[in-house]
Amino acid sequence: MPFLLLQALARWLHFAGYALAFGPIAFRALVLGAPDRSAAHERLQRLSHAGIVLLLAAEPITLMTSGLGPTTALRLGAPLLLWSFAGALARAGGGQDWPLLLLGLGLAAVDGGGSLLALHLAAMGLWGGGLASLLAVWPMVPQGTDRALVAARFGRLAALAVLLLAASGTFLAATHVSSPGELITTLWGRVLIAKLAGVTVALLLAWRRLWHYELWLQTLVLALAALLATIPPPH
Amino acid sequence: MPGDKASSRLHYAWIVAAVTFLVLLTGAGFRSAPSVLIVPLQTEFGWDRATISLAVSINPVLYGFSGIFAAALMERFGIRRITVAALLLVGSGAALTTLMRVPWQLHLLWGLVVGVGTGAIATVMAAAVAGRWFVKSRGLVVGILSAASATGNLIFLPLLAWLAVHHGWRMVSLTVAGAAALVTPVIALLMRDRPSDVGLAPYGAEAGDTPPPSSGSPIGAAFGTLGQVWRSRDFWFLAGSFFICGASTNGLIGTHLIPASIDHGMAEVSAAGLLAVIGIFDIAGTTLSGWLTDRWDSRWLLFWYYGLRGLSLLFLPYAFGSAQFGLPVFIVFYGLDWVATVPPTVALASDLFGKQRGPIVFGWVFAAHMVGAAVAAYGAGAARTWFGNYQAAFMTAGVICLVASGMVIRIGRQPWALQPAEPLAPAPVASGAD
Repeated sequence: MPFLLLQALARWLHFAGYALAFGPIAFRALVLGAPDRSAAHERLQRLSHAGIVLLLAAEPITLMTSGLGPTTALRLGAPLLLWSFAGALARAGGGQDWPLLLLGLGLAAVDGGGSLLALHLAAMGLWGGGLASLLAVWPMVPQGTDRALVAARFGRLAALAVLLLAASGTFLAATHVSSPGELITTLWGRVLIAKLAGVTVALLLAWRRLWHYELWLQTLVLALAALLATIPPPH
Repeated sequence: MPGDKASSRLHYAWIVAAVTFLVLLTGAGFRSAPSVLIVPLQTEFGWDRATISLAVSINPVLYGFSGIFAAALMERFGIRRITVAALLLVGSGAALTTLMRVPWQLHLLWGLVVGVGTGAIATVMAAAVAGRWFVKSRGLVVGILSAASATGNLIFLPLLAWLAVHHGWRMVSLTVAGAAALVTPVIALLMRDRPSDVGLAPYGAEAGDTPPPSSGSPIGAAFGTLGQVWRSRDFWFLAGSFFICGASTNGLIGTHLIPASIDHGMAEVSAAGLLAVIGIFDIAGTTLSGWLTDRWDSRWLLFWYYGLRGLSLLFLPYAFGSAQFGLPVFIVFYGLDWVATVPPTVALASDLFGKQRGPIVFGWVFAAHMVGAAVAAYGAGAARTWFGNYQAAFMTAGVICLVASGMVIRIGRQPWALQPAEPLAPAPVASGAD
């Protein structure tokens, strides 16, 4: 059991790190606009760096529990490449976030093994990381039109992410269970139910713009997702 | 008489540079020898890879640090004498290894004696020659002397590997000793300490271009400069990235590619050929890098060099599984940026810390390079002993190269505010971080 929890901890750090590392970049590119040297952009950069640290922190635990695998180097290399490219883009004057976003998709593909899980992870990063970014920069966004614009843009981005999460998640769940009863009778199924409940509540909180509570709940949902990825599915 | 050359079209500086190239070339050959000795020593004495790697790791540390302090000796006794003494040290150390029976003798001879000797005929010698003899084309000379190391690997590695397979590892040691003995008289006859010794000014010198005469203690200047730049973030970025450079070139690939290739079923001579081919691309890469350094921001060059090196190292474990396609791709990528990091690193040291102190800063940065080489040489051997293969070592090296890539791109543009410079001894420039 401790071994399982350790594996889940590594996954949780990885998922949270992924969201924090790449979410702010997507937020900057798709919500705030082109990078500049304003305080908001610097705060997003710090958030992304925190994500990089979490991604790197996850790997030693993964090594302890799973040993050195072919994807270990890629999982370590991706955050470092992000750090390196972020520095390069900053030196170049910014404005080009797509290489970093491609890197994020690449890491999701490594994690997901090329399956729909990659899309699920990328969407998770978009939603969770985007929300953390929104909360980080919200006090710096001027009251009035700017705030409305940022909230509207993020709302559209989050809605797209949730749609992708729902579609890919439904398909993935369907491949792991052969009957609805397994959602109740197996540990994996029960964790999935708990995760879905958490997501539903998170959506309600989002609708009420209770973003801080939503973020805390998303953190919990990520922990459930990490557990789900660790315990064996029914099929 | 050398002084008669003053009237000829060929400046004597180029003869000195050619002689220096020859010494650096053979020095690179000396340093490449341990990589072909690992497996034969393991076979004959039963020592594990970690034990042998310790000697290999002592060598580059002393190679790096002796470079800084040998400057003082050259100031006191002259380049020619110290170079001859260093060659004799290398030759005697290599010859005595044929008599060794226990690991500490390997550590003493290959690690200590040969390490100190090769250090004295690398960084310091190139520094003295480039600094004292050239004003014009100094960068070109640095580039050429850097390429000497690659050329040395190219020439010596296949030869030494062939000797190890067909005549035993002792013949390798004797060949190194013989090469040192052959080069020594060339140095004694043709090397001159300063242009004034042959009645000349430095090549391309104009009024006021003459390098400042040395005064004070070079050792004191070296430590004084270190004390000043110690607090500079850019210094640590340079030193840290060059530490990683040493770890990923000399320490890992230079030392362990051959044993790793043998682990994958390759013959030793063929494996040594891989390093030799890396050397071919290295010559092209280093020359091109010198050319690019004059035209592009050194930070961007280093960013790409380290990034691509990191990716190629991450790819290497898979490349071994595809000897027809993967390994050649790795060899090309890796070879092109093996020593390519030297010209932009030298340029950055100079740009950030000044023309006078920059070379000394580079001397310390170069020492970090060799410490990195030592750590990786031992660490990769230990990882091989522990895990049974080199995968962890290659992946770690690939990952830290990405760290280096991120470090160099964050090096600032503003020259570091230094105290007014004192007159210094001609200081280390570069000999090639092979």
